[in-house]
Amino acid sequence: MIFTWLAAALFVISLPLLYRLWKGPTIADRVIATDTALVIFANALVVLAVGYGRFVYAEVGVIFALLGFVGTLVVSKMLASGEL
Amino acid sequence: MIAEIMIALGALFCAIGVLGVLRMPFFMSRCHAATIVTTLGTMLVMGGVAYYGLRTGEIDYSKNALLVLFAVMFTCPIASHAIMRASFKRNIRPENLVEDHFDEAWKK
Repeated sequence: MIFTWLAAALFVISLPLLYRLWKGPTIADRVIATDTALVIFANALVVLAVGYGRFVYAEVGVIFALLGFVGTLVVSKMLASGEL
Repeated sequence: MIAEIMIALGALFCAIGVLGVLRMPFFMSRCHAATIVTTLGTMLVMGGVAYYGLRTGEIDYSKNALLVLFAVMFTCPIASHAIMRASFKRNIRPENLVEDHFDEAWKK
């Protein structure tokens, strides 16, 4: 039970990053906000897997962590080459 | 009990990092604050889950938590370096920068 509440707390903690995502002065700020939010989502999903007793959510957490990394690399590559 | 305390401490560090991302003035200081989430917060949360799996005998959760922990630990410095370098190339720099040798080093 307490793991479910901890996962809910992690989800709520990542919500204020939407402000930085919406009102970031540059593109890089938005990318950093998205990356941080995805890492917190991965943490919350692994904790939620323990709370619900379903192992599938933990694997989704791994995918979230790696997808944030790949997205950041792609956007920074496009930003450096001047396409964005 | 130790696992729950570790996860709660990790959530606290995540909250501090999010507050830093919201409140810091420049882009690079925001990156610095975001690093708290990816190192200390993730290490504490995933360490708590791994300890819980070891204690209750559900070893799959421990393995998955350590996988997430090492993935984030190895990929987040690379992503942070890449986005900061790209923003430097696009002239997103702090206003109170004293010395700046990036352009002449990049022209070589």
